[in-house]
Amino acid sequence: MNPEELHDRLRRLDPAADAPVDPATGPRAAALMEQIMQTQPEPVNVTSTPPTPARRPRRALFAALGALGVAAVGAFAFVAMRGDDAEPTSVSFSLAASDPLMQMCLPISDQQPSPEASAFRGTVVDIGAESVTLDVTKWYQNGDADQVVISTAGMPIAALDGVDFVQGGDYLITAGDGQVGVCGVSGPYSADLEGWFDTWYG
Amino acid sequence: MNDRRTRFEAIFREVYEPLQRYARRRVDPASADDVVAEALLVVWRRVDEAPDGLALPWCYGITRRCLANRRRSDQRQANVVDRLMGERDAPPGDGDPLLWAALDELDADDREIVRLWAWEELQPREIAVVLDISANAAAIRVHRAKRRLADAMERVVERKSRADAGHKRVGNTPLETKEAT
Repeated sequence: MNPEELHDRLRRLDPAADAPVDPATGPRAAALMEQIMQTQPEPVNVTSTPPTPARRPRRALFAALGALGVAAVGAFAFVAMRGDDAEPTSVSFSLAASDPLMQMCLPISDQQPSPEASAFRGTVVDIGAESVTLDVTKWYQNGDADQVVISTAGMPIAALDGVDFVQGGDYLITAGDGQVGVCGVSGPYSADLEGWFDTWYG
Repeated sequence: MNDRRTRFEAIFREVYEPLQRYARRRVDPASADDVVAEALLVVWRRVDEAPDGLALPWCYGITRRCLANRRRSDQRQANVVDRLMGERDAPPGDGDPLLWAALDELDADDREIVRLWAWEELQPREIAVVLDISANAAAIRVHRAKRRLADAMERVVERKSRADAGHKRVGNTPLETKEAT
């Protein structure tokens, strides 16, 4: 079958070809548009109102970790699950070998994670000897895998910023350069942290 | 602020109807409305990032991610697989069961690419925006997905031919032979 035939046959399968849709010029669309424009428009770019981080150049989280000499445990690795050109369904990060009590961290209001950082919300589904696996419930940016595996090899306990991972726990996590970010940019779910994630990555 | 509103209003009018169709091709109508509203909210927040001339595929990409997040959430909460992205788009028997069967043989990524090509009528450079990959990578993936669909179609047709031949043989078996066994 040549591409044109394939295209035509696929077109005939289109389940929405004849489905009525709400017109863009109708009253329902107008109400939806107005309702949307009533919301906070651009959380990433607001600079004056807490809890939005300031935008002037600051020492980034991951640069701070580097200055403290925190050693990377492993490297970022995609694990393609469905063929060589399929999108990954699992992605791995490592946990930084650091003592949360000894860390020097910027206030969370001064944190500005890198635009290249990955950020997601996930639920812990497995805590192994050397890794913690989370099912992703939402990607904020730079990722679309279904699961994230965090390597905890060499760690005395699987803990995030000093807080143990618990089975079934809900977490918000930022990762960059293959490492899970700490100093407040990752942690157990809370409405406050979710607000920061919306601010940083919304 | 007025510029943002003007820009958003223009994009909204351009994408509102296509986004509804995009979502309805992948989820039930009620869920589709929710997903479209959610995606348009993201569009509003990120309207400054909308690429000129490619707002629609950019919005498809946002809607696609909203669908993926919804699928993850729904699967966990209800522990059921329903008609969401990556699953069957419509029950078999709707017009072309062989093609539905061939689509089922593709992985979710290839299936989405051929749908974007045939249903959303996107060119590879627009598919690149939806999938957030380079235009070159998109062109390669579109080519491969089409080839895999054609291959799958051949397999499905061949299986059906064999099955039909088998049914004929059983149908031609003399009654006394079947009764004797």
